[in-house]
Amino acid sequence: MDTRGRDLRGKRAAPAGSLVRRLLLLAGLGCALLLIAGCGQSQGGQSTLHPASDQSRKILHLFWGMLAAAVVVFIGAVVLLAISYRRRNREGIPLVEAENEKAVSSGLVVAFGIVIPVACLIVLFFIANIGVVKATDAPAPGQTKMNVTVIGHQWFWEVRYPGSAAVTANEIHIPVKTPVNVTLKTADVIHSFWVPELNKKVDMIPGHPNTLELYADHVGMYRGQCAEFCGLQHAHMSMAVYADPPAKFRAWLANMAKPVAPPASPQAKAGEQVFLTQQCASCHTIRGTSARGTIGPDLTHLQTRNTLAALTIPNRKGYLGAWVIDPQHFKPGNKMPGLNLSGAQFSNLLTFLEGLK
Amino acid sequence: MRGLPDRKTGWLSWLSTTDHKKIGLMYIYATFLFFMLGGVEALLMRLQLAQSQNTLINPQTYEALVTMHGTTMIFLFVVPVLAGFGNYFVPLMIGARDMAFPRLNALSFWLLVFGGIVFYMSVFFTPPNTGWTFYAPLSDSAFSPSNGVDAWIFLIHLTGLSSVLGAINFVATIHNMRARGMGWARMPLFIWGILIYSYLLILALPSVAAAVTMLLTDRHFGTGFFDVAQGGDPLLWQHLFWFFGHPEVYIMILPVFGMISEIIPVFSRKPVFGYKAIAASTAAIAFLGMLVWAHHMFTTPTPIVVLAFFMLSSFAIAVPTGIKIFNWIATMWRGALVFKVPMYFAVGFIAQFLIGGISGVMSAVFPVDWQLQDTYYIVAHIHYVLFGGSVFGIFAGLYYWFPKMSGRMMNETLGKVSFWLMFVGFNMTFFVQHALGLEGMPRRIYTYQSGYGWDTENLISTIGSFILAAGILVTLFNAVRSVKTGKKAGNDPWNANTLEWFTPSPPPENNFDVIPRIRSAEPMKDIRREVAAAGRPAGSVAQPVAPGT
Amino acid sequence: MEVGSIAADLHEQEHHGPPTPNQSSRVDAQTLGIYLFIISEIMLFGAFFTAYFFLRVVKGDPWPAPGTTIPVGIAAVNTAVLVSSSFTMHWANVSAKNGNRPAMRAGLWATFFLGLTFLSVQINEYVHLGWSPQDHAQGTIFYGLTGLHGAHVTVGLLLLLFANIRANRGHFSPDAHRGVEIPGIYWHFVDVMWIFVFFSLYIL
Repeated sequence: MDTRGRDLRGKRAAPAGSLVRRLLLLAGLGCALLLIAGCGQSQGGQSTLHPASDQSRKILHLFWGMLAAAVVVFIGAVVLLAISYRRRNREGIPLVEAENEKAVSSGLVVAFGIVIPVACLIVLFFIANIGVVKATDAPAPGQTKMNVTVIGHQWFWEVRYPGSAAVTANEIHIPVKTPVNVTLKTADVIHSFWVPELNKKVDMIPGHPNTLELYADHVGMYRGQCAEFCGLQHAHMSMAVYADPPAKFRAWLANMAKPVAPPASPQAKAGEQVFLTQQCASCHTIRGTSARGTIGPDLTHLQTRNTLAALTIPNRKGYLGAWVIDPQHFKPGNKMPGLNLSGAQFSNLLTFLEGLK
Repeated sequence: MRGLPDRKTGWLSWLSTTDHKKIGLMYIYATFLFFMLGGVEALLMRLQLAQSQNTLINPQTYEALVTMHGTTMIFLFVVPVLAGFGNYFVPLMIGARDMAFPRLNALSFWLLVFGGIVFYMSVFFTPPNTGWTFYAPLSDSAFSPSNGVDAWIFLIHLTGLSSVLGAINFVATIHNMRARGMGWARMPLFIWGILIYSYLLILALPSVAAAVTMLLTDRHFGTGFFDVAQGGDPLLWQHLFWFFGHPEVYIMILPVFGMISEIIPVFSRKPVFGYKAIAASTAAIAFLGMLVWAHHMFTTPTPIVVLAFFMLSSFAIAVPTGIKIFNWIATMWRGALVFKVPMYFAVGFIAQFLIGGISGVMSAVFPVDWQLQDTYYIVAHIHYVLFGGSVFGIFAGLYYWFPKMSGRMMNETLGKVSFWLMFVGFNMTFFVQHALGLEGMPRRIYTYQSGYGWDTENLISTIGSFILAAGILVTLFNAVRSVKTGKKAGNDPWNANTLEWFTPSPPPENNFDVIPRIRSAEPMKDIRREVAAAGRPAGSVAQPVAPGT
Repeated sequence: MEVGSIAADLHEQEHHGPPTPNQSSRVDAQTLGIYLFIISEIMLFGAFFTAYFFLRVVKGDPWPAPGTTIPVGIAAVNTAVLVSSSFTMHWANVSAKNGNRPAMRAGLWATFFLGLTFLSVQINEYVHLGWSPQDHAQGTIFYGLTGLHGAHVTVGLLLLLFANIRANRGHFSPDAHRGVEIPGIYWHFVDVMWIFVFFSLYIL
C-alpha cells in the first residue's frame, strides 16, 4: 500500500499539531503542579504530604514510590504513542528486524501488558501489606497508656477521656510522642475520623466501634476533618489534635476533669440562670451546673478551646456573641436555634460563658 | 375511510416508534439533555468552590447539586447514552434489521425518560442531598425525611428496569441475529463491548434494585434492614450498593473500549492488533469487576485479609486493561495515521484513561487508600476514568458515527477546536484535584477555609471547568449545524471496516436491502477489495440472503 | 495476519450449516430472553439472601429472633405443594409439545391451583406468625425474602392464568406453544428459588 500518510481523500495527512508532544507537555506541567503542591509547608494543616507520625510517613513513602512508578508507566506509554506518531510513514518497528517482527511485537505486548504489570503489582502488594499495614494498625487493647474516645455527631466531635471525668469537643489533646489508642463511635450517621498528618482515616459506623492509634512526633496542632459525607454541615465538621508536652497535657487533663467553678460575678450568675432557663441546657452539658443536655457539645471548659462550632470560627468574644445570636449564620442547618434574648440576658450569658475556664 | 399511511411521519412517529434507529437517536438526544443538566450542576458546584468561604450557594442546594450531578451523569447519561449508541449500531453492525424485541426496546427508552422525569421533579420540592451513594443511615427517614430520596429510589427502579430490559434485548440480538458468517470471532469489538456491558447490567443492577427497595421499606414501613436499633446494619447497604456500583464503572467503560477499538484501526488504516486479546480482556475485566466492590469500603472496619483480597482483585484488573492499551498503541504502530477528530478524541482517551487507571491502581493499595478515600483525589480519579475515559470515548464515537446517523459530516475545524478546549479544560479541572486530595480536601464539602493551600488549585479547577464546558458547547453547535449544512457523507466516508458503513447514511428503515455474507472481522474491507477487483458498484457484491427478509 | 488466522479458524465452522441472519443461535430470542431475565431475578434474590447471611454469618445474630418461632411443619407441606406444581407444569409443557390438549389444560389448571394454594398458606402463615417485619432485623429479612418470593409467585400465577385463558380459547399447538413454555420456565424458577428460601429461612 502506498497510501500511508495520506488521509481519506488522498491528500497528505495534516501535521495535526504534534498531538502526542502536547500531551506529554501537559502531563509534565501537571506533575510539576503536583510537586509544588507537595512543597508548601503548613503548620496546623491537614495535608497527607506533611506527615508528623511514623504511620502517615510510611503511607506517604509508599505513595511517592508508586507515583514514581506511575510516572514511568505513563511516560512510557506516551513515548510509545509519540513514536507511533513519528513513525507513521515508515515501515517496521524501530529496532526490530522485519522477519521476526510479529514474534517480537507480541512478545512486547506480553511483556508490557502482562509480565511487567504483574511483577510490579506483586512487589507492591507485599510492600503494602508487610511494611505499611503493621505500622498503621491500631494497637491491641491495653497496649497504650492513653485512651481517648471520640464520638461523631452531626456536626461535631465529642471527646472523652476514659478514666477521667474530662469531656470536651472538637479539640483533642494528646501527649506528644505517646501512642494514644482512640476508640471511635458515632451517635447518628456515618462519619469518618481523619487527621491526615497523624494517621489513616477510619469510618465511624453505627454498630461498629472502631479504633485507631494517634501518635505525634512533635508538639503542635494537627487539623482533621470528617471524611464521610454526613449531611448538611459535613463541610464544617473539623477537629484539631493538639500534641502537648506531657506535663502540659497532664495539667490540661486535670483541669478538664474538674467541674466548673461557681460563677464569680453577679452578671455571670445571672448568665448561668439564662443558660439554665432558656433552651441552652436542654442541649448542652456544663458539669457543675444542672445543665445535662447531650445534643450539642459539652461546654464545661469552653474557654480552653480555641474555636467554636467544630473549627468553624475562632473562640473570641465577638464571634461567641454572634454565634449565640445567630448560629445559623455561620453554620446553616446546624441544630442550634437562635435565641430570643434581651440585651441584658445576652450580655450576662456571654459573661457566664466567658467564665467557663 | 382509507387506511393509515404505512409510514408515519412527524413527532407522533417518534413517540410510537419501535425502530431501533429512532429509539437510538431518542436515547442520544435525551441523554445529552441530561448531560447538559448534569454539566450545569457541575459548573454551579465549581463556581461555589472557586474561592474559600464562598456564599454563592447554600449548603442544602450545594449538596443537592452533588447528588443530582452524580446520579444524572451515571444513571441518565453515560449508561443510557451507551445504550443509545448500542441501539443504533448493534443491529447495523451485525447485519440485522432491528433488535430482537423492538417493543421492549421502546419500553426501555420510555422507562428511562420517566425515571429521569420522576427524579428531576424532586427539584420542585426537596431534591435529595445525601450524595449519589445514599449511604444509610443518612438516607434513612430519620436523617433525610424529605421525599427527594424517594424520587431517587424510583429513578433507580425505573432506569434499572430500563437497563436490564435493554440489556436482555442486546444479548438476545447479538446472540441471535448476526449476519450469515459472523461468528463470535468476527463480531466488531464494539459489539463485544455492548455484549459484556449487557451481561454486567443483568448481573449487577438487581443488587442495587434490591438495596433501594430495602431502603424504601426502611423509610416508609419501619423495617430494619439498615437500622442498628432494630438489629440491621448500615454496612449491608454499602456491600449491596458497591456490588452494583463497581461493575457499574465497567458498564460505563467497556462499550467505550469497544468504540475506541473500532476507531483506532480505521484511522490507523490497519487491522486492530490482537482482536482476540481485546475481546478476551473485555470479558476478563467484567469478571474481575464483579469481585472488587469492597475496595470502596477500605476505611470501614474490615479484617486485613479481606482488604488484601480486594486489593489483589483490583490489581488483577490492571492487567487486562493494560493489555488493551498496548493493543491500541500496537494498532497505531506503523499505521498510516489519519488524524481526524474521532482519532483526536481516541488518543486523548488513551492518555487520560491511562492516568485514571494508574490513579485507580494507586488507590487500590489499601494503606494509601486509607488516606485518599473520600478526598478530591478520588474525585479526580473517577473523572479521569468517567470523563477523560468514557465521555471522551463517547465524543469520539459521536464524531465517528455522526455521518452515519445524519448523512452529513461534522465540521473538522470546529471538532478540533472542541477537542483542544475539552482536553485542556478537562485536565485543568481535574489534574489539580489529585493535589487537592493529597492536601487533605475531603469531597462533598460545600465550602472550605483559606490557608490550607486549596485556594489556587480550586480556582484553577473552576476556570478549567468552564473551558471544558465551552469545548462541549462547540461540539453541540457543530452537531446542530452539521445536521443541516454538513458535507454529504455518503455510505462510507471513513473507509471503515464494519457493516454499518455498507448501507446508506442515514440508513433506510429496513437497514439493509441485502445483507452481505461475512468473511472476516472487517467485512467492508473485503467488500472494497472485491469492488476494486471487479470494478462493480458495492451493492452488487453482496448476495441476497433470503428472499423477503 | 491476525484477522486472516481468525478467518481460517472459522472457515471450518461454516461447513456445519451456517446460521441464518436472524437466527445465529440455537436458542430462540424469547427463550434466551426469559433465561436472562431469570439470571437478573436470581441476582435480586441474591441481594436479599446477602442480607440474611450478613445477619447470620457476618454478624452472628441468632435465627429466628430470640423468643420467636417459625412454623417449619406447615412450610414443609407447602414446599411439597409448590414442588409438585413444578411436575404438573412439566406435564402441561410436554403435553403441549405432543399436541395433547386436554392434558395440557389439566396441567396448566393444576399448576395454577397448586400455586394458589401455596400463596394462601403463605398468607395464612403471615397472619399467625405473631411478629412483624418492624420488630427486628430477623423479622425484616424473613418477611423480605418470603414476601419477595410471594410476589414472584403472584406474577407466576398471573402468567399461568393468562396461559389458561389462551388455552381455553384454543391457542397453542405442537409447533407454537411458547406461551406455555415461557411461563413454565418462570414457574420452575419460582419453585427452585423457594427451595433455597425454605432451606435458608426455615431449616438452617
